[in-house]
Amino acid sequence: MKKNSNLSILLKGILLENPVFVLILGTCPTLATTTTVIGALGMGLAAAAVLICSNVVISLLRKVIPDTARIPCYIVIIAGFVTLVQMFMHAYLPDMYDLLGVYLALITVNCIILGRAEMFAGKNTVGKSALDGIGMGLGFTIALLAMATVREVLGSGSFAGFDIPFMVNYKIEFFIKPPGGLLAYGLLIALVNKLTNGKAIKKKEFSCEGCPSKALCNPTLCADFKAKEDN
Amino acid sequence: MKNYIKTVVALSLICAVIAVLLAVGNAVTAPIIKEKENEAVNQSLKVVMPEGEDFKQLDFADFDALLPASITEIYKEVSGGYVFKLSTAGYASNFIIMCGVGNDGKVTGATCISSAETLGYEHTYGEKLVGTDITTINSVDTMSGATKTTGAYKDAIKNALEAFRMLSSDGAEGEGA
Repeated sequence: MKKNSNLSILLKGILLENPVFVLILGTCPTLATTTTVIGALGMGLAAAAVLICSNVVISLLRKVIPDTARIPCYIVIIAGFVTLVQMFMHAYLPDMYDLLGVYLALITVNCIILGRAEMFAGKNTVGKSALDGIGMGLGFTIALLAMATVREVLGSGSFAGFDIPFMVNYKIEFFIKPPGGLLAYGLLIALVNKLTNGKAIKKKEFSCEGCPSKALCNPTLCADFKAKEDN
Repeated sequence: MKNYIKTVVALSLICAVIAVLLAVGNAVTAPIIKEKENEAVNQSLKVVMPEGEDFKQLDFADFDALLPASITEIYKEVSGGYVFKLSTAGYASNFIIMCGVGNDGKVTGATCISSAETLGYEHTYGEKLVGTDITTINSVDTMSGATKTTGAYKDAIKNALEAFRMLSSDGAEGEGA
């Protein structure tokens, strides 16, 4: 599969460049909203909707957005879509709105969305950016669901609110507490590393070049860091 | 100079377009949100005052300057109790509580109908306050790990009890407005 084919753009977000388990972005919502499968699904789909819309709009406007003010422009666009998702969820899915609470508004500062705007949508065509948004959104949702399944089944003895016989008598509440979240996260990252067998994107491939803060960095330090990494 | 102008114009235009989109979104969703909130309020009247039979909303304009600011709506029950709709700020943003106060000045029930708090304690904390009055409410502790949410909750209920004291000492002022 060619590196830049449409299918590879769509699929890379699911495993090889999974935003949560490989790029290690969006850690805060990953840990905070994965105590229940339903909460994780809601968060994943809401973030995916914002990601797809913001990727498309940012890609459309990539020639209009001035380079020096791109981050404020991206943030305004992302915050706009997040607020729209919040309004519609409040109106049509009030239970989910209550469940996600403040984390819904925090999608605005989710690193995955800003990261994809900076690394992909700002440089690629609308179609490819939409595919990237769908792939990354799916990857995020799947990752949250995997985390939430481990945490809810082990921590609450249930799946999506339905009690699992036997498991419900042997709940390990540690898994729905923050340390349990970190442990489940670490174990799943290890599993993804094993599954991809070293084929996942390497850290240096998205370090300096794709870093949203590259323009603010000290270039000499950046070059030194890169030289060390290359060695 | 030209670059500065271009930057300002581009950012302003993007902000303006997003603002228009949000206004449209708000126009579509605000009536639905309001309708659902009213439904939740009507359902919660019976929850916070199970023995209440008939509730009548009082005209807030008659006494809003005197009452605590967190109170947004008042319902009078036919036997003399009141139900207050309270809006307070917890850990995240506003959350809305319904609190019933019986004619003996004790809390008959309290429930949260809308919130963006993170831990969900606002949905169970109200049960701890049932049966308390203005003198005994301070003996109920806030919950460790959710001090801001439950502290704000307790303060709101105190406001409701205070408002009840003011309303019952004023007799039936505002009734039937």
